[in-house]
Parts: sequence; structure tokens; C-alpha cells
Amino acid sequence: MSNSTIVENLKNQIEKFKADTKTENVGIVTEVFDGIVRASGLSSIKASEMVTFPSGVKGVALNLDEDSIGIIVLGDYAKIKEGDEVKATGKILEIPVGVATIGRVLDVLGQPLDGKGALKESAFYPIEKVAAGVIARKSVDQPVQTGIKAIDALVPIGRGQRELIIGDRQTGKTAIAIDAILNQKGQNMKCVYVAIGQKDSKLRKLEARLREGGAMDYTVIVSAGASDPAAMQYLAPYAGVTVAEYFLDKGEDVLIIYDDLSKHAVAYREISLLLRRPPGREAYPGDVFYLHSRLLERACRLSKEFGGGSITALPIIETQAGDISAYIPTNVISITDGQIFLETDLFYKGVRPAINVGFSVSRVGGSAQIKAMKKVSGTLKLDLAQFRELEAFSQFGSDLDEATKATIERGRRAVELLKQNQYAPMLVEHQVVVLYTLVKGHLDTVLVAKIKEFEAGLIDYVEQNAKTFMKQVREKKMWEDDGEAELKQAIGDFKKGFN
Amino acid sequence: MAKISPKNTAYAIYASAKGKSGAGLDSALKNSVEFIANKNLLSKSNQILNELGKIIDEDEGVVRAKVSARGRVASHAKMEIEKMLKERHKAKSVILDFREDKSLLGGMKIEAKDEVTDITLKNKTKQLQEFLLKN
Repeated sequence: MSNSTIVENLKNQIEKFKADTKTENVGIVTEVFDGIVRASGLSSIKASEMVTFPSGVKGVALNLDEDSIGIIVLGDYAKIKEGDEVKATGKILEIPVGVATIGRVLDVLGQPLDGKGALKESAFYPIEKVAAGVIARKSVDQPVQTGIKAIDALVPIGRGQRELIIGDRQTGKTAIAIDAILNQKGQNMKCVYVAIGQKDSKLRKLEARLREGGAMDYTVIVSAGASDPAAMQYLAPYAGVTVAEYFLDKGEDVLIIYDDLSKHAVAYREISLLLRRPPGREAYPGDVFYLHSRLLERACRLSKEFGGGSITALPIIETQAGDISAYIPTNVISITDGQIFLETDLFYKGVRPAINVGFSVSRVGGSAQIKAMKKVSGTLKLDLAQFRELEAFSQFGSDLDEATKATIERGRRAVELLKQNQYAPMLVEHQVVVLYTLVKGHLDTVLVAKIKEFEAGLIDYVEQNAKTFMKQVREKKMWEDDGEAELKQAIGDFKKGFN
Repeated sequence: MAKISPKNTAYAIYASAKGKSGAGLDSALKNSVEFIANKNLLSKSNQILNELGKIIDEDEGVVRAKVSARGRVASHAKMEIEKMLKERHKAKSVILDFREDKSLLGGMKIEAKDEVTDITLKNKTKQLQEFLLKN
């Protein structure tokens, strides 16, 4: 580019420039500590309003006291000093949203963290918003296929539902969320993964895994890492749902994972204590329930007149020593439409995903299950519950009657069949086939140790030899008599050749 | 126990002394000083006085404004500023405090209460810089 072109471009830009001469509401910083600023003045500031400091750092006004304003700093608070001028912007904190966010890793303010250049945003959305009202909503009636047999069969999730994933550390909570994202390929779903207080190394691994699985073509990652200030961690889930709401407004379906809300509550507790808000149970502030309820209320399924989009939320909660009756777990359990409870004991027994079927429930997902899945999974939960009760007796096998023995044997096979490797989501029609085989008793004669081998072989065989059945389940979401007969025949034939 | 802020104290002093004169005013002021001493608020006396000044100004409809400019402000501009501030803050009178600041390059900056109107060249240059960087 020649010098004259540069000068010409500059002139054009300067001609477009219009100076802003509005009167601004300002205050003076009186105190700076641990990511918190106290400022005097700012008499007309609103709660959650964004403020700016001379260094360019942004903040959010959280405490509106009589004499001062408590502000959380979204950035390096070391750049702010006592006596600095703080300006109110008159706006709630806004972040860039749009199609360009897809495939990107963003921080809470929508700034890229992946080094792939600036974001070409379509719009700016405020991060705090009143959730859709009851008139705009519709019942949950479409499934989110996670590709995990135990979930899709026993605790099904519907589009627009809020299903909690809860369990101790290292029980596979994030793995379930990642599998669910990976399985959304080709399912017309956008995904948002919100990492709260996660180590950067874990986030990088996760991003690489999603990229490898092609999931970053429809996924956005919003991250406030463990080394980020508590203020960023507090705002991360709201930023995530704001990114999701852009797609909701376009009538699209979005799956959002909050990983995890325990760390989110801890970050909020830290901020609240620094702001000198009165502590309550477990030192959390009184409004910690509202913190999560207003977030999860933004998950919804909108009716056609309002665009027909949905946000399905999968919040994650980490428990301590399996204590689901602690403060934050009980709060979030009561807000969500069900929970998937993961257990350490099951995990170390090799039952993975380590879902405790007894404690897990989906309150609204049943109506979103496809008919075929509903048919095969109908009695499975009950069978498993009976099996668990009788399992204790199984060691005295010789004393048991035939019916009890049969229940125990069926239960063992069910548990084995529901085991699934990580990053190996299964198509819903394949799930229907294997669960059909189980509930109809075709697996009763197969050794427990050979169930996995049988399952893999059967799926391949059925794909080739029960095409009508597969087509019916794929397209009509339910089989017909001719399809069922074909499947029965295929299972029988496969069993004959299986040793 | 709730903390007593300098603003609360200033309000209390103003309310107790308002409309009084002579012995009544002396007694009110003596009580106020005793109260401040008893509540260990003497270290905050400057803040209390500051707040008291603001309360009196508010009550009497006085607006104090700081006007910073590169050079001397012309008399017609002073009158314009006074008129503007009176209208904006619905004030009975305006007290202007003029300051010279060479770094402003031109224009002026008016600070009244917790509002700032910055129409200096320095601010416009900064805005232009941000605009050019953004585009």
C-alpha cells in the first residue's frame, strides 16, 4: 500500500469519526483489594452496570451501598489505584455474540483465548437477562441424544431440559458432557461448553479432543480458568448462556454444559465475602440459590411463535464424599429437571459411566424419548432396581429359586450392557437393538464376560441383516411388525454363529 | 451493630442544628462534637465536614462545579456554563471553581457533583485514537 493510499484511508476514517460529548456519571476509587474496588460518587449507577477505569479495565457494580459502590474488577486490578476516576457506562455488561463464536475459545468478555485472531461478532448481548416467560415456552418433546445408553434409556434428556450431572471428583462427569457434545454431530444442535475454574491444561486437552472429533464445528468454549479472578469465574456461566441465547433467538437448539457450578458458587462466595455481604450456611451468601436459579431458568424450549429454539442445560456439580445433601447440591437438584448421579464405587468396580440408576432421574425427558426407546427401556429401570435388591443374595446362589436367579442373571447382563467406553457414543437405533436383545431375554444365554463382544458383533450383523428394522427406527422412530420379525430372525441367526 | 457512616453523622448534625441560632445552636453543636468523640469518629471529622458541606449545598440549592480549561474562560462562556448547570441540576445558584490545565489542549472539562462533561481536545483526541484503533 502506498503512502498516499494510507493517508487517504486515514482521512476517510477521520471524516467518519464523530466525537461523543455526553455528560458522564463518575466516581472516585477509594479502595482497591483482591479484585474488588470501592468507589465514591456514581450516584445514578444501577446494579450490575458496567464501569470503566482509566487503564481500560472494566468492572461491574455489585454492591450499591449508601456511601460507596462495590465493584468487581474484570481484569488486572493492580492497574487500578486509589484516586482513579471510575466511569459508569449506563449499560449492563455486554459480550459479543454471533456465528463467528463457533469453533472459538473465548473468555468471559468474549475475547478470544485461542490465538485465532479477533472475533467478527454479529451483535452484543447483555449477560444478564430475564428468562423467557411461561407464555413463550413449550413442553419438552424432542430428545437430546447423548449417545450414552444408560442416559438415553434410563434418564433421557429432552431439548430445553436442565439435567444435573452430579458426583464426586474423578467419576466421569466431564466425560459424560464431552460424549454428549461429540454425539451432537449432525443432530442440528449447537453446543456451548463453559469451563469454570478449570486448569488450563484440562481445557486444552478437552478442546483438542473436541477438535479431533469434529465437534468444534458446532461448539463454543467459554472459559474462566482456575488462575482467573473470582469475578471472571462468577460471570462465566452467564457469558456462556448469552452466547447460547444468540442461537436460541435464531430458532436453533443449543446444548450448554456448565462445568462446574460448585466452583461457580465458591467464586461467588469469595466475591460476596470480600464485598462484606453477610455469610449464611457454609459461608455462602443468602442469594446463592438465586445465583443458580436465574442462570438455569434461561434454559428453555420456546414455542414456534417465539422461534422454536431451545437451550438444554447440563450443569455439573462436584460433591464431597458423595454427599448430595450439602448446600449447593441440594439447591441445584431442586432447580433442575432431574439428575444423573455418578458414584465412585461404581466407577472403581468398572461400571463406566458410573451412573447410579437408583438415584438418577429425569423428570421431563421421558416425554421426549423416541417411541422405540421408550418401548425397550420401559421395564429396564425396574429390572435394575430389583437386581440391586437381590444382588446381595447372589453369593448364596444355590439357595435361590429359579425366578430370583433369572432376575439376578438378567440384571448382571443389563449392568454389563450399559457399560460404555469414553468417546464412543452410540447411535440411538443401535441402542434400541441392544436393549431389545436384553429385555426380550436374548442375552440370557450369553456369558456376562462375552456381552461386550456380542454387542459389537450384533450391531454389525443387524446393520447388514435387519435393514428394514433399522430404517423404521431411524425414520419413523418406531419399528413395525415386519421389522421386529426381521430383527428377531437376525438376532437368532447371529446367536447361532456366536461362541 | 450497624456502622455509623460519615454521611449519617453529617445528616444528624445538620438536622439537629438546622433553624437554630444562639444558645440553641451552641448546644446542638456541643452535643454533636460529644457524639463524634464518644463514637470514636474524630478521625473521620474531615469526611463528616465534607458530607455536611454537601448536605447544606443540596438543601440550599447550591451547585459547586470545577471547570478546567487550557487558558482563561471567557465571561460569556462562564455565564453559559452557569445557565447550563442551573438547568441541569435545578439549582438556585452555581459556584464555579476555574482551573488552568495546559494538558487539556483546548476546550473545557466541567465537573459538578458526580457528573463530568468533558469537551476537551485531549478527550476528543483520545476518542479518535480509540476509533482508529477499532476500525
